Amino acid sequence: MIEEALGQIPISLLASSLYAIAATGLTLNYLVLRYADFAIGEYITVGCYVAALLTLSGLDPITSMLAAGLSGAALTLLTDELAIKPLERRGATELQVFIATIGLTLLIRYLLSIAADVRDLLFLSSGFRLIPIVYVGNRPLTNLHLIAIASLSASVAALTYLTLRTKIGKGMRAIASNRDLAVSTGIPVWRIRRFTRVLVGLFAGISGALWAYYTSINPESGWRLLLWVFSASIIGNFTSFPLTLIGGFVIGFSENLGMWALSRGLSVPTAYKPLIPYLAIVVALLYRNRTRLRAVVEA
Amino acid sequence: MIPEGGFVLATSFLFYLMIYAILALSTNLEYGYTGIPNLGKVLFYFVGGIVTAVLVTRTYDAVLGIEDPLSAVSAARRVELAASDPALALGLFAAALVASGLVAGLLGYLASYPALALKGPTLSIALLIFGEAARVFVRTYEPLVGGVFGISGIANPFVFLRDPMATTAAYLVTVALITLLVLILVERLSNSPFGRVMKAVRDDELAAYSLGKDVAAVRGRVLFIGSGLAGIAGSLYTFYSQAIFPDDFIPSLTFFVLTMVIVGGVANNLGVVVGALLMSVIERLSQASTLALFGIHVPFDISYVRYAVTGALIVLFLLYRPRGLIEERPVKTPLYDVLSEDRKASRTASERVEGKG
Repeated sequence: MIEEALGQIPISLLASSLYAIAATGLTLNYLVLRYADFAIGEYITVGCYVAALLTLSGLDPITSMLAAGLSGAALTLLTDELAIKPLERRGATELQVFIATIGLTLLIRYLLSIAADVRDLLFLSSGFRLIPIVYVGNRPLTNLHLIAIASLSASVAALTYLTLRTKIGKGMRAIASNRDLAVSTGIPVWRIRRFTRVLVGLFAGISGALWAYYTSINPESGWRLLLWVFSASIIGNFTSFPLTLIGGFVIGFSENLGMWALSRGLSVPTAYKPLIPYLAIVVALLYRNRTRLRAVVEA
Repeated sequence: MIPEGGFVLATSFLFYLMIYAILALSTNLEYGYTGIPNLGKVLFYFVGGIVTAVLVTRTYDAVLGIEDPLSAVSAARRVELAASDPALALGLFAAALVASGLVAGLLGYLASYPALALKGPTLSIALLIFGEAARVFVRTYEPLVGGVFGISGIANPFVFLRDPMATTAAYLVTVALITLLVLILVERLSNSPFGRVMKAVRDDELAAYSLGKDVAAVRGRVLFIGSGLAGIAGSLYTFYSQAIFPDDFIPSLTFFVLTMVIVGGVANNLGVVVGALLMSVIERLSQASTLALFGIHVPFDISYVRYAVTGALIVLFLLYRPRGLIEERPVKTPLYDVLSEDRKASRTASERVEGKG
């Protein structure tokens, strides 16, 4: 019993790290660029494919992961420069920009699907080899879990260092808190915007690589992860990094450890597994609504 | 005499066109007029389908005393009963339409409650997620509508005509009348003072609020109507396919319908019907069976092209023609007509004076 419960911890940790890394990028994008990038799932998918193909060709997993991150960054830059920036220059509303990212999502996903179908890569497993290190309960903690936790720590540390200690990070914070003021004080808004996009793409690509190492992938992998990633950012209210990280862990643990507890304790069928994170969102939304409503009443 | 294959192709094209038109009109009320990006459109469409499936199969099963509702024999017995009892079948059809509209509408109204406080993309993403949650739940929970394999034997109300072509034709005419009714209703609603309030909420929430408009209530009402219409569309779809499969109700449909609004004309009801027509044609052209008629074969799943085109259309239209093919027009309330008549009259009067001077 305890063995089984402990056995859920490695997979929970892996899923949580993956969601948290991508969701951090999503929250960052919303804070600095003022739009929720729906296409983040597709940057993750591209990361999945790059990492899987590179490891299959014999490259080591860490380098492949970095390459996946860079390809994600290239794609985020490309979509922002070619679609979102021109839109904003034409005076599009926040809503229109958000809808445009949905359009980009469909475009990227299905172009990728066509390419994958032609080359017969619709289902692909990476060349990553899991090496058990230590048993936690009845399941092993492998090198992949360590890589995932290290990636999350490195991403958070890098973001913290950048925002607190560097000039460009200071600029990011300035834009996030007041864009007009940032523009008028001569902060290089466009350069910081590009830099932010690179970070968002890196994070998405890295989490895609982790997913590709964990399981087999297809052109819809990112779409499946997108909802969880958005859920983590919703728990973080798209503004708070600590809450977004917590959101990632809430989703990752509730989906695995929480589902295990429900199926053992209340014999809930495991087919309901995807519903657990949804419940987490409902609770988060209701909780947030409650505090907001009270503020409205008291004002 | 029309060949049967051609009849099936034509009726299915027309049927989907009308379902898309209703969905696009309801999306237009929310997104086009009021600025609510309801990415959970498919959820309310699905709810309409579920309510219909449950109401129809449970009623027939109660009459027939069926114990195993999911079996093919039970489905056939339900259809047989509907064929022998037209009054029951038509009555159930009407009841299902009303119930689907009301349940989906109430759900939409409930969804508007968080809209009061939530800003940015949270509400639309939450609705999208709830749609997926509903699908996961329904495909897993078999007692409701048979889980992943769905339930069949949701008899078409005109099955008593006995001839499949006559049944389809009669049903198609009914759906056409309902679609026309929805179009007239939506057009009247958007050309009423309420239509002006919707646009005010979309264009400047704060200004609308300061003029005494209850923004949250307006959103609630719009989501009630929009979701109710989606529910009715779901009900019509379920009677058409005579079965319900949870995996038919995927988020891509929401995006597909949203594209109709963006391409056809944001906040223009005629425009979104044109958009629905255009996307229906694109849908047909991107089907392997249609391409096979022209002898075209591609080395990949052709439906990918449909969605890639959908995505490209969204981006391109937002960039180069954000108002869509047919542009938005001013709200034509009775007062607007009176005022524009007045202005025209005074203009001609002043022109006459100037002419004399």
